[in-house]
Amino acid sequence: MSKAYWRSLDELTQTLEFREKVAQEFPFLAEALQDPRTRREFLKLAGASLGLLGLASCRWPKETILPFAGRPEGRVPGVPQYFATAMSLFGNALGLVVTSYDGRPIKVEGNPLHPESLGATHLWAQASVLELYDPDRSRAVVERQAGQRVVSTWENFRRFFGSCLARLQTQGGRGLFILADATPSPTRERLRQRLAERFPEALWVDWDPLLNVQEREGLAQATGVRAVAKPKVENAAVIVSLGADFLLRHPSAVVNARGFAAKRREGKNRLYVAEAVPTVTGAAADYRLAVPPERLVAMLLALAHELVARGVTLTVPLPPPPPLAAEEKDFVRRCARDLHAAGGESLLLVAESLPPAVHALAFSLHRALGAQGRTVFYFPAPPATGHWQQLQHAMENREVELLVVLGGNPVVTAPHLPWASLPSETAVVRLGLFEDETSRLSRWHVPQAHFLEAWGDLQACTGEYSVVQPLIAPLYEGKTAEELLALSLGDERQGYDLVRDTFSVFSQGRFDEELWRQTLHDGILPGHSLSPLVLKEQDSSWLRDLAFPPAGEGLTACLLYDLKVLDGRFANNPWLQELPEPLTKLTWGNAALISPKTAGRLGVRHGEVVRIATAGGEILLPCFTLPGTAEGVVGLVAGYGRKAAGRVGDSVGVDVLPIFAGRWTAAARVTPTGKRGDLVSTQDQQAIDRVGLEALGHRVGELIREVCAAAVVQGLQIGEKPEVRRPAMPWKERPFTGEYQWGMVVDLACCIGCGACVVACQAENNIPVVGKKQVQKGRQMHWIRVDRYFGGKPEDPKFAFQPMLCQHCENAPCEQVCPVAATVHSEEGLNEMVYNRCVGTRYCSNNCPYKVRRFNFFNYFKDVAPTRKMQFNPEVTIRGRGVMEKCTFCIQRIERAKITAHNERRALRDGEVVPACAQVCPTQAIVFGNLNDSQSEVAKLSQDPRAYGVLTELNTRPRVLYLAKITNHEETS
Amino acid sequence: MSQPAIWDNSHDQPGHRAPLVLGDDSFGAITQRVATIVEKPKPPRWWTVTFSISLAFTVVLLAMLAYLFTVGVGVWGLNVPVAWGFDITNFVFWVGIGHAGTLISAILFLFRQKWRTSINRFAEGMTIFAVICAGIFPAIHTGRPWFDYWLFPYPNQMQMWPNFRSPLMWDVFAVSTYFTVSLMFWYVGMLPDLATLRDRAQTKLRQLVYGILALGWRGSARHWHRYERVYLLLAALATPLVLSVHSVVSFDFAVSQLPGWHATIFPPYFVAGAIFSGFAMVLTLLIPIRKAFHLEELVTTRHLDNMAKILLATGLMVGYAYGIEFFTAWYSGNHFEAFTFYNRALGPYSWAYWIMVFCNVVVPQMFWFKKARTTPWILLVGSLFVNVGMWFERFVIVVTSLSRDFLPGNWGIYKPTWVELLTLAGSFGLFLTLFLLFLRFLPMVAMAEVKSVVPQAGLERGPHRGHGQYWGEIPHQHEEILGGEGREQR
Repeated sequence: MSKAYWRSLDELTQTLEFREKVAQEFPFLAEALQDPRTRREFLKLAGASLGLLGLASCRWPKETILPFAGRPEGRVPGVPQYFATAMSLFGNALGLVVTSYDGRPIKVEGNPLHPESLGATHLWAQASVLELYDPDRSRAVVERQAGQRVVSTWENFRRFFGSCLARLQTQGGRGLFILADATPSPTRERLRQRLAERFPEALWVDWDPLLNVQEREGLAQATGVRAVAKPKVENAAVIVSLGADFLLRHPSAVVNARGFAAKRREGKNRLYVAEAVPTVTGAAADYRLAVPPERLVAMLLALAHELVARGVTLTVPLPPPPPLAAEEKDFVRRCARDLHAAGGESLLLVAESLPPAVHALAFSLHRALGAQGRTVFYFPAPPATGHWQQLQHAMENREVELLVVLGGNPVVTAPHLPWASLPSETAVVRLGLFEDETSRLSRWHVPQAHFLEAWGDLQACTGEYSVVQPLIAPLYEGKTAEELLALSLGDERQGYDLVRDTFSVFSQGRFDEELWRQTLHDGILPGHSLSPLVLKEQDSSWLRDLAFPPAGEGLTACLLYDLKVLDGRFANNPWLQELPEPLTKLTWGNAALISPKTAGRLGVRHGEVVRIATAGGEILLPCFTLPGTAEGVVGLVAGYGRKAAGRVGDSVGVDVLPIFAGRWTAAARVTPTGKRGDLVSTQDQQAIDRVGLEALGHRVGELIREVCAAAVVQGLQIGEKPEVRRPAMPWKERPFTGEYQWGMVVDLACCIGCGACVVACQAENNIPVVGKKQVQKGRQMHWIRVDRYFGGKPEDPKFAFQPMLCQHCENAPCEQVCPVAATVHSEEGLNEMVYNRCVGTRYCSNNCPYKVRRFNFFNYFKDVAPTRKMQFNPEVTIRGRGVMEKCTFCIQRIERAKITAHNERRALRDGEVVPACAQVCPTQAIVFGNLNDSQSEVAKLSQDPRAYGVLTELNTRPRVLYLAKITNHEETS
Repeated sequence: MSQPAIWDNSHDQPGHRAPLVLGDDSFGAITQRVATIVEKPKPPRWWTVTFSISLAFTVVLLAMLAYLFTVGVGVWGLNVPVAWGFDITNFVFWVGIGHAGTLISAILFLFRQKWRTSINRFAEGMTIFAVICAGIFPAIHTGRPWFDYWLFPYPNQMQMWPNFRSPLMWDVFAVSTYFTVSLMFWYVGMLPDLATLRDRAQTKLRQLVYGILALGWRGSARHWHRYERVYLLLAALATPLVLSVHSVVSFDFAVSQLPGWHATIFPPYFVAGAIFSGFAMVLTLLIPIRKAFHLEELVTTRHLDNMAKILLATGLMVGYAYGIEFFTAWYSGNHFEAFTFYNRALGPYSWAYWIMVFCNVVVPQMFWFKKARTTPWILLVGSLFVNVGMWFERFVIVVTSLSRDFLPGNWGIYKPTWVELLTLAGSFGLFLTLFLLFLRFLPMVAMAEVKSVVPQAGLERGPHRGHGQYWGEIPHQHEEILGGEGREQR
């Protein structure tokens, strides 16, 4: 098979001739090609193009597909290698260490050396490896001529791009607009500056809806310096968050969560959250108040007044205090008292959706409390670029001649820009991973190289420089944004050379090969970071803007970006689509979040489709009654309703962005339609009836135990009695003779419910994605799930999360009932599942009190796309149809560590075996190890007074223990 | 000699025993009556119609199984937590049905309940076919049915025994033993009748087939002697099995630790339920067939009356079990247990629970009235209700307990799919197909045994019959035959 033939397959797949050909050869596939809607069809399709396998292999560097005459140094077949790289999200860098098997990256971990990771990652980093292998990724340069899609070549594009730029250069770059995703890449910045020199009148706009622009804007207004705030949550004793989801949707969320958990574990912080719609931060709060977004401004102002009244000296004149409702007043008073007492150990975080003036006031308060330099640091922000409104203006006035879109998907994420009215003479050049909505409006689409397959660099907001190194040759000849930028400057070098040039700048102007290698190895350039700025108010005129008028009549619609697919960029990622959203536990779609009371007032039932009308338009969306949502607020989750995301993400959910018209809130009218929507959640699939709710209320306290922070500070004395955890056995106890006795402790005080463990487990253990219909039937396959419980009143609920996985019971109910002994206990205390002995009676699942076993109702690996197969972990068996599976405590990692230790003739050290869930956990809530070793962390934690087992009264003797949640309430302390 | 079409023999008069079978049939007439059903060259029209429908449903069953095997268990509505649904419900239901036959033939035989002779063959046949239907479900419910044989202990290259601690393993033994013994019992009991059919056979084929099946039965005294011994022994062997098989089936649930399953009352409760459902099914089948084949004189009103009484008694037992389950749940103080029952009655599956209570507890109360016990159509309707109710009982036990167990985080809802509904319908198709074939080709009433309980059977013993051997009066003729002697006997 010649390479040329297969290269044109992409072109062919879309053409009529190809369809005819397929129809002749494989009639059953022709349909799937026409309508690749269902998963089965999609898999068939992927299977049909078996050529992809050839395609994939063609992409490999020629050298590596030749058999080795001799083994290259350091390469042992079957032994994974680890490479440091970095990922960009929320405008920040996250250092990663990627596991590579025989040249295939299969698993992403955090880089312990990287200050934004500390060894953990967020769930998006976990899912990024699947994005790399997405069979829907664009594979060819595509040109659209008069609406006709034509597969073109890189050469053609280069010719076009060159002539276009040459023309623009003559007019100083007027008419050239660049819309870039905000990737903090020094190389990109360097090229941007060169571009600005060559095209002085060109406009560069950074657009990323997840960026904290308001905060930068606010700091700039207040201090005159462009800066970003970097919280140090581990130093904060009192944290007040006004709508800011700093534990999950924040540039530094991973380390924020780490810091929060570290302090929480000692019982030494208190978190106040006022927000409109529950977030994981709100769920972690000790005091939470549900208020409409416009009230947050008033509350911050009142808080400032309250602090001033307590003697905090604020250097800016405050507008008069606004009137507050009783519970708001109470909340503010508590906050003020605690903040005042904490002084420099206080942290105040404000939602991105609030105007810059609010961020400016937050800065002033930080400074007044002495928090600057203790709980919050300021670092120089990337240089200012154009504002999207300038681009909008130019688009409206037909001034755009060439628009280069680097990454992102602005047609979806910025629907307020007049895309539809772009004149045909405007050339849009688009670099993207997928041929998505933006590509459809573009003249040229150029496939983008994924960060795992291309050279690049990233700089964390604190200044640490990381090189993004490829783990694999580009699968589809994609280019990076930097390469495209260099091309526009007439520089046709590869990303590798571009990055090395930048590296020279960072290493004192000359290229230091030794340092380069060191940087690649460590993942960060050693000893390079920025020193924090010390900022002062320069101006107080921003105080005039300190207002946030209510959205208008009716309900306030609040825009939220999804916690899984974010702004839709991960919509084609099946792991994330199937990951239950932390609070609603929704998968495969979005909903309108309404409080039960408001729903009652509107006459809307849970799951019913509602019509939401704003000035920007109207949408139909199923309603989810979420306790803890503010009254009069409807939270709309963005990131769904994609039309050209790919086979996974197309038409999942509803796109809510158009009705917001570029704003964060909108006045909305919500009317019921009487139709049932298709909400698919992994918990409470049906709205739970009264009977169930009562039982739930009784049980939560027992399943999720709580202690108060004050008691933790004083030192808890009495833990769970041994006879409670291990009731007497009426027969002879089974001795466990293994050298290692594995156990796990999950600290509920730390778990924020983000779900990174779920994705990490899925990536590590080849867990299949089953699709929307199967999740609806309750057949999700996650080996670890995070149970979410509500407590208290629906208006003011308490939230609790409990990661639930196989408890590896010493006296396992599943083992006793299996008729064929397919699930047995190891001498090391692992409950082992023997897949090839399993006949699939499912009796084990029925008898499992934790219901953590998962059954392969179908063959979920029947037609896996060849590229997708590259992600599979070769150390974990693919489970066939009709077989039960469950958490193994990552036995492959245990065995690998044991083999290493054995070869080195030593015993395993504590911390050497880390299951995927524990490794990824940003809060280090999961600790795994050898219970036999009394010095191991897990053994110590299992003796912690907070430790308890779940359902131990059944005498299951679980090897997973939980540490009681810590709440810091005044009433309880 | 005029006589009423059906002589009501359901009365209980002190000092007067009603005859067990009616009519003035001689021994030969009984043979004639039963054997002609099998010997008619063409089956009745209703038989052809019902057989075609049943056969169609059997084909549906086969189609569903083919679909299941090619695609996977996912074609059913099961999930985690509810990993068992219609499959195990149907299994327990059919095993329960399979109880009546052996109970009637073995236990009632040992207790010298002579009235059983008219219905035992019929009930045993039903048992065999019900157990066949039951056996299908555990075999197909597994994820990889092609490995089902791993459940049997056999020497193998894996050097693996099955797990003898698993109740599913016990099921394999209990059901297969029960099936084997029931089949033997049924077959051995049929030998004299098969020989009768052989002797009466008109065609070569029938001679051959019945000849082989009759195992050379010649009716010699020695044959009869051996036959009676074997029959008695098999009855003794089958009797404990009647109790054990459903007890073991109940262990599937009772041995687990799921609230709603983990209950010590389950074995007797299941046995009572099985007898209840088995008798209901016997009635459901018997009433129309008795009418269709004009067997009212062999299967008399008294038979119906007796069976209705058993229905009433076992219905009260299961009703008691339903009640005591709630009591245990409350008295145990275990809130998981208490919730399970609260949830059964008031939760998302409460509709199924109340159908069960209505059909199994409320409906049988009508059998306190003799009118309901002796009016065939009322009895038929009542028995149908019990069939439905007993199916729901198993559904309630299997599904409601699983759908909401310990951790509210994993609660789930199970909805059957069309595949499951058609599989259930198909299993009825198979059952009826086998049953109709049985009616057509095998003697549905134990001719030899019935002959021993007709009043005429006691005649030659004259006035010196022992008390236990009194089978009632010979209607219409006794005056003539016995003259004054008959009166003295009373």
